[in-house]
Amino acid sequence: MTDIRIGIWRDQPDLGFLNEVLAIPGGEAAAACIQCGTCSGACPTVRDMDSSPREIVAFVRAGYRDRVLNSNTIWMCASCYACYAQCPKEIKITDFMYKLKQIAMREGYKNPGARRARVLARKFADTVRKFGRNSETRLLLKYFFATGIFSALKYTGMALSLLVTGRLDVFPKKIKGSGEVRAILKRIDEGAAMRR
Amino acid sequence: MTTYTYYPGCSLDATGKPYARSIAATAPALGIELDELEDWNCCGATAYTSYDQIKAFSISGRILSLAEKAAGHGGEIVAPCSACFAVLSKSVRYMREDAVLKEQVDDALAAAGLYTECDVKVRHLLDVYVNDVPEEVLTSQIKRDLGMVRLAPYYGCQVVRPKNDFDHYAQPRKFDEYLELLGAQPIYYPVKTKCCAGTFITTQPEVAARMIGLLLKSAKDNDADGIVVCCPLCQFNLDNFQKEAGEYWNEEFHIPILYFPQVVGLALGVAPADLDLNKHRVSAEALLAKII
Repeated sequence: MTDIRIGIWRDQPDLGFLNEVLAIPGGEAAAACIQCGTCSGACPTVRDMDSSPREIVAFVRAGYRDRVLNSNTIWMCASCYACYAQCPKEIKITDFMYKLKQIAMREGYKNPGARRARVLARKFADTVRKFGRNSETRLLLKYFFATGIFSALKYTGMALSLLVTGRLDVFPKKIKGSGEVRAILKRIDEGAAMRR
Repeated sequence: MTTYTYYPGCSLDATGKPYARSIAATAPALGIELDELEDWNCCGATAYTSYDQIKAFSISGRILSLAEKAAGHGGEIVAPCSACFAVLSKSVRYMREDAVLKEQVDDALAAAGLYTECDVKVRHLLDVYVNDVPEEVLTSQIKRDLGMVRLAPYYGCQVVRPKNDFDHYAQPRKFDEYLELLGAQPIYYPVKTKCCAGTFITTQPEVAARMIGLLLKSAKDNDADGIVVCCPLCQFNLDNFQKEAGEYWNEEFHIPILYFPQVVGLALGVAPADLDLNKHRVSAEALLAKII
């Protein structure tokens, strides 16, 4: 159960956080949220979240940085866009979740439910930086080496099935323009470093 | 023949090979020529977007830039993967709406000597099959009666969401009607736009088992012979997690998961092996026995 009063007592509103989150394309719509809860009703994983999507919107608007970034909610979002599509105020809740994941990852928030999602996102980004494309096999191998190889054992049957049907991309293809992709990513990193 | 600039996406080279093969086996007969975009890169999918927003939009920007050269400004690019479709169409829309974002992406793309006007139209391959092929062209090609087969039309999330002009975001009908046109029986499938769990099969397998099981159970309860999908990740999850899903729901699931061009191919009389129907985890033999 969530006790909103505890949140008010513990969290100091953080305007920098609020402004960064609301700066996403169309983010200002969050001001119009009427707290109807349609997003939470539409969400297929709300029962696995410690705060519902409706609460997250409320906490973001209140500027409760730690409360939002420590919640497992942002990592339980599968990006199905059901909340966003059904919101009567057209608030892009899925995009807020993306933004919150990015901030939490950048600032090293350690939510127990978040580690695996964080590793997957990082490994994915590494693969794209190197090859220009994703390789599902390489991504999964890297993921399981980072999160515990034993958890990979239960995927053995699946891996065998993919192997015998020729669906494992063991050797990823590197695109000709992978240098272009790296130049693009490098420029963004430099820009971010300059802003800091 | 109508020629489209084609963005296959990473999965079609790996787990989604049967999708690629069944597209190649059906598109020409329907007058669809797919001209693969040269040297395309990853769209970023959901994982990259979770990591860095500007980077995600910028690597999509490279694709859009290549597509504008290939298809011309105002042209179309077609993606068979719902994640690629959603990411690319979202990139176009957001960059057109948000000048600050566009400026940041412009700056990043300039490092590679690229620029995008964001004026291509992104379309899903299902949309092309359903809306661009005249009904009489399709029906004149049908050589096999699928009338005995009961199929669940599974749209998944990202072909209808965020809202787009393909179909309604929660109660779409076009895929249902298309299966009917192909001669199969689309079943009542109330979970047709519920999430397949996406990347949760790796990061949250317990939650994924529940979500995937819901989709399988609804199909089973409505006597489906198979579920038809339009996204390689949906196919992968539904096909490979039936045992885990069954354990969660205390049920036995053996439901073949077909890509929609495989169903088209069956209707057009293509041999199942040429559609890679033998390459999935769950066997489609019982379904095939009803029609062949």
